[in-house]
Formats: sequence, structure tokens, C-alpha cells
Amino acid sequence: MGNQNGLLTCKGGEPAPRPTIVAGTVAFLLFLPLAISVPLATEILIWTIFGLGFNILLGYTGVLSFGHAAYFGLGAYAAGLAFRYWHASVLTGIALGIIGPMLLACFIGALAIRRRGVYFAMISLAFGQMLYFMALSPLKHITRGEDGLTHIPVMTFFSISLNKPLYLYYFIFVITAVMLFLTWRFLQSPFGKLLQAFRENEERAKACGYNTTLIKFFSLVVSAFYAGLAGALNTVYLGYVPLTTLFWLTSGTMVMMTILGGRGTFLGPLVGAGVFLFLQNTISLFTPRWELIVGSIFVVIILLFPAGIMGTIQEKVAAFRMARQKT
Amino acid sequence: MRKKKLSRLIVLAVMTLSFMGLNLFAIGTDSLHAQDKTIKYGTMHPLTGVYAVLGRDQMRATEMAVDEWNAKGGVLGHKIEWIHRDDQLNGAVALRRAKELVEEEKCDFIGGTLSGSISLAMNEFACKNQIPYVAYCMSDMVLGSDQCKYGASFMVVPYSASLAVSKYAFENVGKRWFSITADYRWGHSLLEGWLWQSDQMGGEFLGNVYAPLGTTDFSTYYAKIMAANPDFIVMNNLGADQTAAIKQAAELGLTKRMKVFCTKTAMHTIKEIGDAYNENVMGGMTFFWKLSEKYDTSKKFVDNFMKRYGAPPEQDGDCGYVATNLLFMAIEKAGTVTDKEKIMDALEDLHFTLTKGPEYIRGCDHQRVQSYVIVKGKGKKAKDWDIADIVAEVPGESIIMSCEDNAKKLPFINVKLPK
Amino acid sequence: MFADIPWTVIVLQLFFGLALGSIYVLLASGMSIIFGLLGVVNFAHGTFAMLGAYAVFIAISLSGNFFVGIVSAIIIVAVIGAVTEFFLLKPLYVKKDELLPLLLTFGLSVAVPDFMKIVFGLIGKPVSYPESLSGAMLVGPFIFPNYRLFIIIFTLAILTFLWLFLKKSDLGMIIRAATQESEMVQMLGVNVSRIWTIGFSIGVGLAALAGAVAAPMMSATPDMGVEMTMVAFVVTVVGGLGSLGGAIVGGLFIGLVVAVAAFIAGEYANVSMYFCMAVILLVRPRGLFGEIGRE
Repeated sequence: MGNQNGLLTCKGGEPAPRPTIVAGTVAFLLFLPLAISVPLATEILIWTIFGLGFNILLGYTGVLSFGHAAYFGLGAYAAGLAFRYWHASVLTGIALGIIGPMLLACFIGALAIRRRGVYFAMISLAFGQMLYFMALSPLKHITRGEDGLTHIPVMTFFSISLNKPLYLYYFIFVITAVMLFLTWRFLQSPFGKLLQAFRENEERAKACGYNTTLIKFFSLVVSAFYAGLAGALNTVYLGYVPLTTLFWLTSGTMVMMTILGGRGTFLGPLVGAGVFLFLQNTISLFTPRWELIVGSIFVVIILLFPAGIMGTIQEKVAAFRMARQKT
Repeated sequence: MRKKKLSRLIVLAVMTLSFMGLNLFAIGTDSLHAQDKTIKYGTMHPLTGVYAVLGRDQMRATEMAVDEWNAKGGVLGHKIEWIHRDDQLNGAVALRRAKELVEEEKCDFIGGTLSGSISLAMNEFACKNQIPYVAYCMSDMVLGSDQCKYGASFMVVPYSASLAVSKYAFENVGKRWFSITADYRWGHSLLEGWLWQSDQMGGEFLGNVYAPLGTTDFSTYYAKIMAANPDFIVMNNLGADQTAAIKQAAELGLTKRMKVFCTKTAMHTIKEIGDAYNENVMGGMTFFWKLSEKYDTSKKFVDNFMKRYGAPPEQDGDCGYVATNLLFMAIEKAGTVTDKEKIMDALEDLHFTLTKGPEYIRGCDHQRVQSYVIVKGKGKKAKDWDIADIVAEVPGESIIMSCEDNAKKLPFINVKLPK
Repeated sequence: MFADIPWTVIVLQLFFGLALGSIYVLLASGMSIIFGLLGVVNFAHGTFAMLGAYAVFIAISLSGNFFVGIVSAIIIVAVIGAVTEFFLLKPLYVKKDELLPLLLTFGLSVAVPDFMKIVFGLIGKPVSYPESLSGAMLVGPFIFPNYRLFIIIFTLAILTFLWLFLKKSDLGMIIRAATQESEMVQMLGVNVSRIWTIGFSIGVGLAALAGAVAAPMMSATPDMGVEMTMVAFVVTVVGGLGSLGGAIVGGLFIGLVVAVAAFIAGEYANVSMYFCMAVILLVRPRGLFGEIGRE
């Protein structure tokens, strides 16, 4: 991609994390089921995968999509339909769950990715809602509408039954670890670095001759890959595809997790997913009003810590280091 | 640096494999057994979301039942430990809760949920894992291939509501009817019941409009209805949809000129609608607190509930109460806490008189056979909880199809729904 | 198919579509003003509408008069809006990230309805139609419910007032100028910051009006705002972000589309609205009346 030295002088943004961080994350996820309930841990994994992709789009490329539930849901339904009607194997179903959303992303991207930030956010919301309402009524003979897709057989992976919670967890864990690794390498790659520069200053990137539309398009499709994968895994985990996978609140949840965790940071998705789900789970033990608490936390984060948890930590660490250097 | 990275990875790999090995070994020995001294009963209710008020009644009723049993010394000498969770009326969350209840909390029995579609998923989960599940909602889980050994349903099958209300309507009001149906499976099930009954009783079906879930403006539908001039309008919807529909029917003067039948209605809906729910508006429920005037059992149930919670129970409260009680009664009858199959056997054809008249759980499909109550609104005369009067209590036997029919989803599977 | 529907029914459908559209217009014009003036996409627009519905419920319980109720609702919510803009949104402008206000309002749309559940309980609050507006007007073969007529006429009045305000008054002129060139206006010595607060108040005041007017039709419930926000989005985008004329045309258009779709094929009623939005965004992204450069 030509000479990028000029673009590498970007301040802020995160250099790709060190190997210890990645390894540490994997180890952490390895032992997570010991600390919290297995279903919760499994969901954290799934949303982390979803978030890794979403973060590439929002955190690194700077494009906000409010309709990512479309990709997640499409992945979930594609896998679910494959499992139920074609008795597809786990991997086949997951593969289909990835391809579908990527095609959808190509379609939506081709039509809309040029548009300005808030406009694209609204377009993506519109498409997301359209897909939801299509699945609810007109297409309900395929999607089973509000009932969701049931009668999905128990999945086995090389004769290991995935109905056992811990087997399922480690199956998804391996996939998550792979995705973490791939994302890490992706961010270290020339394109990854380009994305960060792009986010800092889109105009400058354009001036340097990069096709910004293509960059955004590519990010969108990549994020759809992750979303579809997460959706398909969600189907394997639940054994069922509820209609809410397509609902805008799923998109909204992803946005909240990403902002909460820290957009544009490597660990943001994991931290965001973990904190959000943990909060949702724990708060609802005491009061059903968890939305009030989580919503308020979100507002506070936007106002005071827009960099999110990881972003703020990194800022503090960097500031600390700089202060140290000066002495 | 390279060597270090590689060795780190190897260590990581070894750790992973050994840990997995340890866990696989642990999982191997299945550990779902009742603790020595307590039974764990886990329930799910929508405590957030638009039906939170009903979920809360479900929860309260369960709590009351559990407390009553524990006061008597538990079930077969075992104390009952009750855990409840919020399913947010969301299928994914409900399933996560179910998994937590069964896999983490090691519940022996599960119950609850308000949504028919979630109950289908719960039923499937219960069957896959051989855990008894008592459903607290109107559900189609007892029909066709959804039937399974471990599920039991404690409200009515949707079509039963239609059969009860339609019979009353055709006998007492008129023959010409027009319906508004919420456009999802539950609404369709209700409509099927109406269409079939209409055929049987010489009703004149003038037309139907499908309103997507969440419709707030029914004015366009009423234009059609006014032109057709039916004897009564049928509402196959609930909650906020029903509120909007009735309010707007009142706005357009329809509730003054013709009758309205809500196949399923609820106390909180009537309250939410206010004056517009007048004497021309009727609705069906499986339980209304005024049954206390007829049955001692109802009086006892309602009084206890009011004493504890300050308000009479919704039908969902009755459902939760009965479901919980029946579960424990079945355990007692079976004489075992661990043999789940035997417990489900004991549940079959179990007769009881708990909150209304005599009822029973049908053996072939685990459906509670119960009466359906039709109430009439009071309009401006409504005060506090005196919001309606009972006009009929339709016996359960007359509104449920035979075992063979239910298994084949007959006769409603043959009913053609209008476009 | 249309042959066997009496034309009276069709006219009535169009009438209802107009009434529905009027509520949409109120929502959308509020959102349009906010976006045009502040550049903020108000994800909590429906939430303010919901507050308007509750405000009218409270006001009617206290005063017994529907019209007093509506006016009070607008004022109450406008004040809440001003406070919101001042304390929550203003700190974000300096960060020059247009996604932040959107995200903040999104957070509000999640938190505030839940808060209402704590304060007002889980059951919705019934709001009765005013006696003076009950019944219907009979014009030949047509029966036009008075309340719907009221909605249409009242919206027209409000829009006329708004137009006059923006075109003729000093404050209105400043607002229009600030919508076009906020920096220039600032350099001329005007306190743009205050203009923004006022603009936001007007915007959410309109939303509150929409909510208050809709309250008798569906009761005031905590979750009623979500769908209203979506509708406001759709109409604003169709009409053109930042264009008042667009909000009007867009609102009426979408109202009619939904009414017709509900009539012909009920299951497509919801989809039809988003479909229109998607088509407009792809074919004419600035909306019917929007200006180039904003998209």
C-alpha cells in the first residue's frame, strides 16, 4: 500500500497490543467458567466475537452502524435453518451463518457506505428494522415469526455433544481464541494500521490517495463476518433462534458494549461484553430496573469517559508513563 | 523473542488441554440430583418489559404457594428452595436463565414464562434435558409434535379462549362478526378458534384485519369495520395493542353502538383503558377475583393474595399458584423427588380443587382443564379493582378438544385463515 | 380488489392517514429543528413524546381540562428538554464528534422509560378524550371523528405558528441563521449556545405535543416512545434532515403510506415505512426537501 510513514505518525489510537496481553486474555477466558456461570460466560464469548468485528467498524474505522443486529440475526437464522431443515453439521451451519451476512453487508455497503456518519447510522437502523419486520410477518413461514426457530437438533462436534454446557463453552472458546488472534494480526497488518490513521483523519487519508469508501466498505464486510459468526454460534448455544436477535435493541446493546468497553481498543469488546452482561445479570437479581442503571451508566460514560473503560485506562497509563519520562 | 513466544504458546496449549481434560472428566459424572434436604424450583418471569405487571403476579403467586408448602413442612419432608429470574420477555434471555437454573443452580424443576412462544422453547429445553417444566402461560406446547413428557401447561390452549368467548357471543349477542387479529401465531390461533366455532354455530364472518404487533393506530381498520356493520367486533390481541384498539373504538363511537369481545383480556388492560371499557366491552380470562363470590376456594386464594400483596391476583397469578401447587402435589403423589418420570406420571389425570371449581390435568397432553371466565366492563362505574362483572364461566370440558385431536392439531389445522 | 370497496371507505382511510400523518409531522418537525440547528440526532425523541403523554395525564388530573393539559405538557417537557440540553448535550459539542450526542440520547432512551416505571408504575395511565371533541362530524356519507379532525387542524395551526415564528420574529430569524451558519452568527455577537438550548426545547416540545395528542388513543405507557422515535427518524430522513417543509410533506406521506399499507396488506404496514426510508436514502439521500451537503 505504498509509503505509509507519514500516516504512521498518528497520535492517540492504540498500537497493536503486545503478545502477553493477547495470551493473557486467552488464559483469562480459559478459566472464566470457574468464576461465573457457564451460560453467562458463553454469552460473553459470543458477544466478544460480535464486538471484535463491530469495533473494527466503529472503533477503528469510525463508522457507526445501528443495524448490526441484521447481520447477527441473519447469521443466527441461516445457521438455524441449515441445522433444522438440512441437518447440516456444526461447521457447515456456521459457514452459512457467515456467508449470508457478508453478502448482505456487500449489498448495504454498496448502496449506502458513502453516506455521512449519522446518515449511515440511520440507514443501517432502517435496514435492521426492515429485516426484523420482514421476519416477523411476511416471512414468517420461514422464520416462524415471533415464535422464533425451534426444533433445532442438538449439535455434535466430532461426536462430542454440544448440549453439555462446558463442552459448548470450550468449543466456542477455541473459536473465540482464534478470532482474537486473527484480529490481533489484522490490526498489526498494514491495513490495520491504515484503519487507525483513517480514523484519526479521514481527510488526510483521502489526500494521500486512499479510497476511503473502499476502506469503509471493507470494514463493514469484515464486521459482518464477525457478526454472522457470533449469530451462528448463538444458535448453537441456544438451540433456538429468537426473533429478538434481529431487533434493534440487539444492535443497541452492541453499541453500548463497544462504547462501554472502549472503542478502538483491542480489549474493548471483551471488557464491554463482560461488564454489560455481568451488570445486566447481577442487577436483575436485585431489581428489575437494570435498564435504568445501565442506561444511566452509559450516559455518564459518554459524558465523562467517552473512551470507555479500556480507553480511559490506556490514557491514564500513557499519561503516567509520560509523566514518568519527564522526571 | 521468538523462542519465548513459542514456549509461551506451548505452555498455554498444554494448560488448555489439561484443563479441558479435567473438566471433561468432571462433566462425565452427571450431577443433576436433588440435594439431600432441599428441592430446588426455578422460575422465570418477565419482570422487565411491557408485561412486567403480569410477570410480577406470576412471581408473587409462586412465592405464596412455596411459602404455604414450606409452612406445612415442605414436600415429602424436603424444604423447597425457590429461585426466580427475569426473562425480560426475551427468548434468548429466557433460555440463558433456564440454562443457569438447570446447569448452575441445579434446579430440579423449572416453571414460568408469560410468552407462548418462549414456552415452546422452554418446553423443548425441558425435554432435551429431562427436567419437568410447568408453563404459566397460554401455550400451544400441548399440540402436535410439541407435546413432550416433561412439559405441562397451566393456562388454556389459545383456541379454548376462542371457543368459550365465541359460543357466548353467538348465543347472546348476534351472528355477524368482524375481527382484529394481532399478526402472530397466538393471534392466529385465536382466530382459528373463532372461525371454526362460527362455522359450527351459524355465525356470519364479515372479515378480519391483521394488525402487526405494536400497532398503535387502529383507525384505518375501524373504517373497514364500520362499513361492514357487524353485531360485534372480536379483538384477538392483548396488552398495549388491546388498549389502543379499545380506546380508539370508543373514540369512534363504536363501543356505544355495538359489542366488543376481547378473546383474552386482563385486569391491568381494563384499568389502563379506563372508562372506554364499558358495558358493551367483554373479555375473557382464566381467572377473575370476583369468582370469590362463587367459590370458597377462590375467596381463600384471593384473600390470601390480597393480604400479602395488597391487590387481587391477575389470571397469571392464579396460573402460577396452581402450577406450583400441582407440581408439589404430583411429587407427593409419586412419593419420590428424584424420579422425574414418575412425577410426571403422577401429574397425569391429577384432580384438584384449588382456586376455582374442580379441575384436573389431562393425562394425554398435560393440559390443565379449567373454566374460562367472561367479564363485562363497567365504564365510568369502575372503582379501584371493581372494574368488571362476571357474565359467564364456561366449563373447561366444553372448550378443549379430544386427546387425539390435540395430538393432530385438529380441527384447527384445517381452518383456512383469511388473507 | 378496489372495486368492491366503497369509495367512502377509501376517503375515510385517507382521512385517517392524514390524522396519523399529522402526529408524525409534529414528531418529525421537532427532530428536524434539532438536527438542523444543533446537528444532533435525537435518539430520545420518542422518549420526550412519552414524557409529553405522561405530562398531559398529570395536567388533566390536576386541572380537569384537556387543553390546559396539552399546553402544560408542552411547557413541562420543553423545560426538561432545556435542562437536558444544557447539562448533558452541551458538554459534548466541544468534542466535535457528531456520534456522541446521538449515543447520549440513545442512553437516555434506555434509562428514562425505566425511570418512569419506577415513578408511575408498570400499568399505563389512561387519558380520556375530551368531551368537547367526542363524537363525529357527519358530512354526507362520511363520518369524521372529531378528535381526528382536531388533530389535523391543531397541527396545521401549530405549523403555521411555527412558520410565522421562524420567518417573522427576531428569534426565529436568528434560529434560521444559526441553522445555516452557526459560526457566523456567533461572530455577530449572538449567544449561539442559548439559541441551541431554545431550539432543542422547541424540538422536544413538538415531540411532547405529539405524545400528548396521541395519549387518548393509546394511553400513556413508559415504552410508547420507542416506536415514535423510529417514526420520527423515518419521516425526517424521507423529508430531509433539517427541513421543516420536508418534515411536513414526509410526515403526511408516511402517514398515508402506512394507512394504505395497513388497509391493503396489514403485515407489510411496518415494513412499508422503512422501505420508503431506505429507497429515499439510496435514491435521494438528502430527502425530498433536504439540502445537499448535509448527507
